[in-house]
Amino acid sequence: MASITVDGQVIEAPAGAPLVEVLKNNGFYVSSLCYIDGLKPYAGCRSCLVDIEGPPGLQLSCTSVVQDGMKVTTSSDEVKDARKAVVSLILANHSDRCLTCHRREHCHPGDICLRDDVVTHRCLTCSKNYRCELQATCEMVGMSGYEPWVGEERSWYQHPQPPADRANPYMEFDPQMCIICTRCQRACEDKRHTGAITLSGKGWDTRIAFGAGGAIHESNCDFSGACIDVCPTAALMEHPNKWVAKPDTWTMTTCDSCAVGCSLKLGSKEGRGVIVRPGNANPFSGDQICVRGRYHYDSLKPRERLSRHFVRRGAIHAPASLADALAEAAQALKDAKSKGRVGVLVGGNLTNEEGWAAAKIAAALGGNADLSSGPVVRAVKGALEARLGTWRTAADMTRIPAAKALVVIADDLEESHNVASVRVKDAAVHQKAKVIVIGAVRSELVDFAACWLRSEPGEEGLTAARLADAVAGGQPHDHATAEAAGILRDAPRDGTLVVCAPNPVSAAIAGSMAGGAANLAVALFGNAASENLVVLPTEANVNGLLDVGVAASGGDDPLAGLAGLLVVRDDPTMRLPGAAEALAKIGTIVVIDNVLHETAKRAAVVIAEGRAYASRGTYTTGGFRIQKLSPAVAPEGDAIDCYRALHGLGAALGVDLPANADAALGEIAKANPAYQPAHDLILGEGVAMAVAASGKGTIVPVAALTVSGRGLRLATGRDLYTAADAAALRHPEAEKLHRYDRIQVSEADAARLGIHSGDEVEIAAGGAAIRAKADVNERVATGTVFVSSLLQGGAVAQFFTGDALPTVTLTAAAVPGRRATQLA
Amino acid sequence: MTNAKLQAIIDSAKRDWAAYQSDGRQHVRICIDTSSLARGGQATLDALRAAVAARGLNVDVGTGGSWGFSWMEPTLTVRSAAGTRTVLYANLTAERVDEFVDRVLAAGGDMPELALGVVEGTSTPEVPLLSDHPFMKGQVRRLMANIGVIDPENIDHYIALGGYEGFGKALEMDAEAIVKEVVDSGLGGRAGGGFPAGRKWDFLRSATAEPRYLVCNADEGDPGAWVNRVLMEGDPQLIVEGMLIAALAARAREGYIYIRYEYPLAFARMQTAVDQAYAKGLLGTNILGSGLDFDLVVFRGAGSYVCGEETGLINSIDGYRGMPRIKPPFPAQAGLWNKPTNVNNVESYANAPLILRNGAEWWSTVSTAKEKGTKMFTFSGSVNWQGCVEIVYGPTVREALEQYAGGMKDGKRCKGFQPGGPLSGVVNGDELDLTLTLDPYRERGLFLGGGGIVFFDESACIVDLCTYFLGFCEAESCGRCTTCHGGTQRAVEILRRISLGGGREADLENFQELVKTLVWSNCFHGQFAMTTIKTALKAFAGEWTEHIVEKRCRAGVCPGLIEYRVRSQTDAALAEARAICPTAAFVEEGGQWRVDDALCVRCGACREVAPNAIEVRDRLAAPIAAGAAAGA
Repeated sequence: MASITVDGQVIEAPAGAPLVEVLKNNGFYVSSLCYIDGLKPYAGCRSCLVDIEGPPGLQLSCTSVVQDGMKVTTSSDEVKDARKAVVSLILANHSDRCLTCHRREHCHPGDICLRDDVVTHRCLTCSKNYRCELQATCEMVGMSGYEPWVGEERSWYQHPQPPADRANPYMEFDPQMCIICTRCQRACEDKRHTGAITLSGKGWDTRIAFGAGGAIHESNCDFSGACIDVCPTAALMEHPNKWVAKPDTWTMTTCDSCAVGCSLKLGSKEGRGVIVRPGNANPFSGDQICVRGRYHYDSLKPRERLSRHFVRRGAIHAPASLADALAEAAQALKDAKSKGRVGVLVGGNLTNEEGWAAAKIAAALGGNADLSSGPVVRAVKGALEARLGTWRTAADMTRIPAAKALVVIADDLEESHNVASVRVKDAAVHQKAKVIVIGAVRSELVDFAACWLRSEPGEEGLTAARLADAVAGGQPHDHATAEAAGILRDAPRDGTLVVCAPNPVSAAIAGSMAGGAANLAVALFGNAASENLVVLPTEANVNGLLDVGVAASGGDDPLAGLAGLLVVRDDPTMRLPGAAEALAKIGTIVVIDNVLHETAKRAAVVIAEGRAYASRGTYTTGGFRIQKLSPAVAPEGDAIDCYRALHGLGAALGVDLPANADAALGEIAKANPAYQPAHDLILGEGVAMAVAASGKGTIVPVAALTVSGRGLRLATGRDLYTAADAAALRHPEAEKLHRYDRIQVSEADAARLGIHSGDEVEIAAGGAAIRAKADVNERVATGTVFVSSLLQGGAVAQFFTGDALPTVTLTAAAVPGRRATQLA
Repeated sequence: MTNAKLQAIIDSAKRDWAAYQSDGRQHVRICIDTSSLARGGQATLDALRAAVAARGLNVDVGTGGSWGFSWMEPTLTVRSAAGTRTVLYANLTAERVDEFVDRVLAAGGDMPELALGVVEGTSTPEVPLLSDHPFMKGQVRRLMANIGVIDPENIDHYIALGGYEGFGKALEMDAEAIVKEVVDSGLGGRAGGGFPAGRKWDFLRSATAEPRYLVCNADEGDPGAWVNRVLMEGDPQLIVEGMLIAALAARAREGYIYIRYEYPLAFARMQTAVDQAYAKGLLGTNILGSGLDFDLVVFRGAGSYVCGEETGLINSIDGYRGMPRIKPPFPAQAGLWNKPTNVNNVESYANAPLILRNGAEWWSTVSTAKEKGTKMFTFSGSVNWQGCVEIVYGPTVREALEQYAGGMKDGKRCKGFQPGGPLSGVVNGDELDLTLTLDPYRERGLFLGGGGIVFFDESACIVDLCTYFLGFCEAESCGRCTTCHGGTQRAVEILRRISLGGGREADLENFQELVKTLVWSNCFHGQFAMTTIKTALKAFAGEWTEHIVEKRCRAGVCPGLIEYRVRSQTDAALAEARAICPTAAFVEEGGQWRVDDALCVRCGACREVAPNAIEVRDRLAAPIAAGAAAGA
């Protein structure tokens, strides 16, 4: 630690630390419009000037580092004047008059400007008003009345900036507002490793550009919004709710989109979400979230969610009071129980507390709670237990960005678990880590990989198992496997990790992937395998739900032989082939959910609940970290939060459940001491769970799955953009960018078939078929088609009925004047 | 010299050269450089070759670099068949080639109307010695010794005339000794910094990280400077050899020559030179069996002025956007590919072979000034001769102007000059007695740059001049610093407003504000962008007041302050003036022509074609009261 003096006050700070961060953290105001904490200084805004004793003139605090004995002045007249002069140059190229106006606090939107200033030059008409860093900087630097350049013919305005880009559903870019601080460019490059943003041109023509200078959605932007977080002006803003995103409440909660469990701050206004920022409470996600975390709070309009409870009256659903709905639901379930088995299916993003309550209700109804992804989850669990003796992998995920070698076995980690993929890139970029990617489609992660073992779809696990054999000293299956094994042999063991995100659709494939990953971990680490393997389920809280007894047991078909069914925020028709027919045979269905999906439409009673963002509770992430959820949005209308719905149903069924989610967590902790710290820290944001190392590692051969048919191989996986709740509604805007509501076809196959992107095509096999527009791209290999696991409400599941890997025929839909062609 | 391989190369080159010189043919060497090409040099060359072939003459027509007479290109030398007499000719246009070939090459006579002087041999009353030409007299041609004499695309010519002897000596010396020799010589950075080159090489040698890089800065972007181009287009091997010597001194393994995009010919010639050096084994691994490895890459920039700043240049080679970096770290610690790097100007490297070949003492004693050695300058602007010279440091600007630039055009008074590019400031013509050395400019807050000196006469308006140079700085700002890209924009806006007649007294204050604020920029470009205005405000204070207060532009340039008037209705050229007007601003009223001020764009074309019919008058200035004028 060094000791420095700032404005006469002595401060302890680490020697070599950037002075600007030390000043800010110690409560000294320094304007800094281009600095990003933790990144190398860009030193573009030149406004963070301070006076450091010794060198002549003023110094930038972003490029200065702390040295023992340093004497810093931040508030002398010289410093203040210089800062004002610098900021005035920024304001001269910014729509600015309000920033220096002495009346700025008295003005209201719609007022006539006393300075006769045009509307577009006024902060009052800016969507960033009152949450703008430039505005705040002007206040702090004291720009009021300081206007040396007012009245100039501002040449910057004579070269019209490109029009604002509002062409995509997520993000707006208005170059007019840009002060070319390049924070967005550096966040995209250095924090996200995406590099979609660049600084183009020079002189007065210098400006921020996406990709090659076109629209944002034509660049490789993945809409994480990391650039929005750092933009000091209104140049980059979220598209949804742009004008109302001045929340009255910020709530720290956890993203419900995947098992990474990124913490996020959800800003709400009158109970409805309007904006999301990264939450920083999960050290793994840190200041990053992905497009799903940032925008899926807004995946459906409020009126598209359930705001009333329904009971079936003949052919129609009639609105009902909560009490009536609960009473009727309980009665229906009791009746069903008297007739036969009653099943309970819950969604993978229920909290631990909700899952625990559902499990209690299931027990009271004489069965077990399951997930509709239960077969997949059990396949993964079984594969891990066979090899490691446990399904709880003990690897700390925060080791990923610090790793020296990583093996990623996934459909496409970039898409399914985006922030995990960012951390893998962190390792590749900052640690020069060797990344080995095993997957069938060209993931963006491949660009960062030292080695890509491209498998056939569904054979990722087999490929990983072959790599494991090669690592263990066996004859390598092929040249690439030998190369990858060599990389792993040379890498430091304590810096190596295996990351696996099993397939969400097929139990056979998922089990094979987990088995292959576990084999590799055993080959590398022996009995310490479980401490060096990360398994990321597709859904947010699979690990926690397993812990509270959901999906612990069950068959291949959770809907088989049921007389009644309780479904909690889940839609079996999205995952289970033949679910529609099975549901038709079930006498009584009760649904607790926030959207009226296919299963809910068949239900006798529908109880409206809020979604995960309305819940209080905990998630257990893929890395076995217990992350807290706090109610950030209000359930729509009459809807109630999910735990309350379960509690009410339990009461009506005579199941005694704790009064609230916190008490439920207490019960969970009693049964499973690993949850005690989470319960103790109930006011905190999250806590890592102690997972015991299994101390066991056995290689179990991974069987090759047979391929049925001789058509094109079918690949599937969770995509980055589709919202699961909107997909359950078969909503046409479930994937707002319209990249993954298509059938992805390789260029070679498309050429053979004579189809182009946008043409209508159909894939079919054994009576199942999906018809959608084609997307011809380089992501899929020749002889393969890719369909998102959520396309058309999970329609792809119908192809994965048994253990075999499906193949399909691809047909260009008949177009008048053109003959239909088919590829098999 | 003990390196046998090098000796063999030199011996062979000398034999070839001797044979070439005595092959009994006439040798014509025509200057093909960028200036020559701009003045039709290629057409002349083609015509010359065709004419020689048509007449079946056994004449060797070769190409070379520029003798420095850039305003009279294409120039060419003719060496007699016996090798006893060489004459330098100028201004040979393609139309005169036939006559030239007949009279000079076929008949063996002189063509005095085109002759500049006799390079070698006897003079005649019509064709004096070239060394007596006022432009050449007093020049000390060391760097330029070979230029125009040899084929820049033939390494053997260079070697035959003493090339690589300095490198041969350096090969036998240890690094410390080379550094000592160069430090002793007093060679200072030639781009205007003047920092001892030997010391810089020593810094690089003492850097701990490997590998170390040498970079040659050939991004000569200052308007009115072309000394580096003359060197690269005329004698590229000099730079290759200089960098090899620096590589020995600094123990560098790889070098880059960064040439600006706008110098395609220099790039091509430099590339050829490097290729030939590789072919001779003078570059690459284990050079001449000495164990030295040195690779040299010729790199073409993408057309950005700030890439002349060393860290911007390094960024550009690294493949990043051409933006100067944040310092520290300095290139000597982390430059190219984040490894220790030394950046020198073309001319700095080019002096190394001369120092090693002839010794530090020979090299430095030529100059009695603090700055040692010779320096190349280019003079341009409103002067008679826009050429390139090599002189010893020390003469005054006036001497240089009179002797090497041929004085001001049309005998006008020199209003001022710019000593070294758009960042260097302007000097009033009253101060022509400043010497061409570094210190006088430093003391005045200016600097003598890479050697491009631009003179302007009374027809230049200081506001217009500042607008041009600030506009240049604005357009070439890399976009990093608010102070630079924003500050230059503000300055240009104010200047434009003044020239349109909207000058305010607050402008002078605002200029001072900008002068104060732009120093907080990251690199020289921003820090010195305001130098032109800062120095002009002092050196031409009266003219600013005229513009801002009296609304008068004495040079008749600022469009808002002047108007064009028809002075003579009867002048014969008036019709031509009317015809040339691009906006049809001449209107007829009652048989009288007048210029419609609203239509006139002040292009000045009418005045050029009809100087007697058109006059420029103040547009806004109130006539100065006779008494006040008399009082002043």
